[in-house]
Amino acid sequence: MIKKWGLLAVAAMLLFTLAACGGKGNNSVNSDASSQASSSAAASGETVTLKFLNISEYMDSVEFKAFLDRFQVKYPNIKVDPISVPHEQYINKRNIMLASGEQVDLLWGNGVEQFDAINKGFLMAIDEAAKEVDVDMTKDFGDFKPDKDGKYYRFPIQQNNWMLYYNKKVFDDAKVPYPDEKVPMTWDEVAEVAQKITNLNGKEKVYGMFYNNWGMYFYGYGSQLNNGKFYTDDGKVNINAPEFVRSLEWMNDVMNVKKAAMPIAEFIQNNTDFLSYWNGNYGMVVGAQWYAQLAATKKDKFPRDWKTGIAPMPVPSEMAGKHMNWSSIDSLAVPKNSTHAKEALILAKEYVSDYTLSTGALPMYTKVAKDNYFEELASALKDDDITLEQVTYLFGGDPAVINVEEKPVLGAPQEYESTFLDIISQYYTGAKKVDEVLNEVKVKVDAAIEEQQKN
Amino acid sequence: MATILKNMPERKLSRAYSLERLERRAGLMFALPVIVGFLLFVLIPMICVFLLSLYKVDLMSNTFEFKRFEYYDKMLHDPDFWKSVRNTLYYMVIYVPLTLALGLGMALILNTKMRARGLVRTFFIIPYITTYVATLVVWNVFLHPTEGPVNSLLVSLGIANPPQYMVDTDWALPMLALIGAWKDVGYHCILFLAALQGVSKDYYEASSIDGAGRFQRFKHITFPLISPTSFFLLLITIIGGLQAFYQMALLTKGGPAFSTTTMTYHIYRSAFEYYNFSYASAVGMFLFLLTLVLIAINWFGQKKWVFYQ
Repeated sequence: MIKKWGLLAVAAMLLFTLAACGGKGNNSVNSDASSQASSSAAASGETVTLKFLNISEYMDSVEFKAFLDRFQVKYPNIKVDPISVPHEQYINKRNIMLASGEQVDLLWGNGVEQFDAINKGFLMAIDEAAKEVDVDMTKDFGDFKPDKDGKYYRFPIQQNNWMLYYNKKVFDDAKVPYPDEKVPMTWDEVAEVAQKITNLNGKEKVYGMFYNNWGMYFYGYGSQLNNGKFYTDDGKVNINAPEFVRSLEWMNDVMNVKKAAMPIAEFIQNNTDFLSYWNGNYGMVVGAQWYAQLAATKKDKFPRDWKTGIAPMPVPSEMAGKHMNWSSIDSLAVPKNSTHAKEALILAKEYVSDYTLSTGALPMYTKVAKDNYFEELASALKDDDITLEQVTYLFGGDPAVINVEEKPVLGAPQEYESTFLDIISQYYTGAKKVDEVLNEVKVKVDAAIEEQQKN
Repeated sequence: MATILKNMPERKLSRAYSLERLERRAGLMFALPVIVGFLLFVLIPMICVFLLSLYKVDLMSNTFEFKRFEYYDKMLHDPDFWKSVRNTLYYMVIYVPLTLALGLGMALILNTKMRARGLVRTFFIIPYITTYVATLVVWNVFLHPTEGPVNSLLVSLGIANPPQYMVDTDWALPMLALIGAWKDVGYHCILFLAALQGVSKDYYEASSIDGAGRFQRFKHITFPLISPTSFFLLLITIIGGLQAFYQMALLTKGGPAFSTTTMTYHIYRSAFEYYNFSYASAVGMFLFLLTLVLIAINWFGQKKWVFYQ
């Protein structure tokens, strides 16, 4: 009897194991086939439901709900199931969903996240599906180049426009003149001003400079110096180049010598949020248009009794007078297991045409009317005495702006960024020298790149 | 049993057999929920993890490529993996003895006649029943490098550069082990206390008559009699130490510079951050084997010190 039960249990276990772990062999999904399937689904008038994964900063808003309502009226056969995830949990959530075989039809990502997805083979090329929804990837997004092997994987939403935000009250209290509206400060000038406006003896500490624990706040100055050369010509890590060393040293000077920025130990242990700048206890921060989108124009969420000012992004002394920007593109993409590629791109097209502007960002999609964008944004910032001319110049209206890479996006970008941030704190706490930490990053990320190339 | 059955008349024998069958069936039915649970939630996932470690898997397109032991080879040549093994063992060297010693010490104190014993017991058990996230938030504030009470005290005592704890590679892991021990010690204390209260007072009275001192009583009576509980707690503390994860995930994210990346955090990061499930499964299997070896060593070693009455 026991033998029988034992055999039955083993048989059931094996069956279950095979069912749970088994696959279909090497039957890789063909993106063309999936887009054809979606075409027929759309043509037959059957209702499809799209799972749309995006960060909660863009989904949990009245404007997004209004957009979905409009979309539903326009496309009654395409239902949208929005999945909203806070940005700090986004990568893990995305990986878990995709790893578990859950079908997602459209997903958001910044430059690093989307290239990470491309390198890991999550995404399908959208060239063909884009044509079906009347989008020409080569022309409709300006000078937007193919992502990999001559194919487009990303449907661009917006390009980040970086600038210097400053707190006028902090400058006034320190009797320091505001930064020039048109001429960017050099990083050395920023460091000096940050030191002058820092006040650590008051009721509340006021730091002259706010930063985020994101890569560009440490290596971004170097990226301006060497035109975003994060990789060597043979595809290896270039983070130990002298330009990046200088960049990290600048931050060390501000943080640990001039004491004009919060020490990194304190910053990390406080779990400092990127929107903390808006609590008024910092003089300056380098930030992109999302600071205006999420905080400067949202006084109900971020009430303040001080005025903000905006100025061009600081530059190295070698680039004095030039308007520079860390270029990074947020985009939408279609996972390769989606069976509704066409519908997903219809949603993507509507997202950039009908929603992006309402978030306060300038869509890259050239066919959307953007005439009122600068006026509306200037109007939202008029209480801060920010002019239309300033907004136009800094939020994407300057054709002469020099763009350099914001982050490394080619080889193992996710590993690059997280390894860099994990290791460099050693330098800022004084435990290691700058060359040591950067060489350590190089060794680890080179190994990750090599591993990725093998696969 | 066999002799009784042999001497029984045939009718009675058949009834006895059917009774025995019924009992077996009933026993099996009672055990079935556990067996099914074990199969579904332990054995089958474990087999899946092992299979996953042998294949390059892309669940998005349902493709599986047999890689033999390639991921194990990668694991064995990965410096980050060995660092995570070292970190795990370092964590355990602090966490295991500290938790056991404090748990036993506290139980010995609570086992004496003292005022407000119930209240003190409650205080001791509070960390264990409080959610991990809440306790870690409190510890984070407590160990804040500039404004935390610990460093404020150290500064007031004249220490100019107190440790920076969670961003210091030398301090972060020991502090996490300390937090882990603080969290779990209440549970150990309760179990030790239950064991201590099960020791008959007659032994102590007899030993007192024989002139045994406090230490001798502990060495020759208390410790042997609570040794089955000590053994059980040792095993679960080792397992708990090998699986340390919460503190790393919530306070340090494995950093700084990989200094708090334990094996479980390495698995988590490889799987969910870097999407390398096959490699993570290989590390998972290694962790399983390491656990098994450590448990086996203790299991066979128990003969020397565990005393079953």
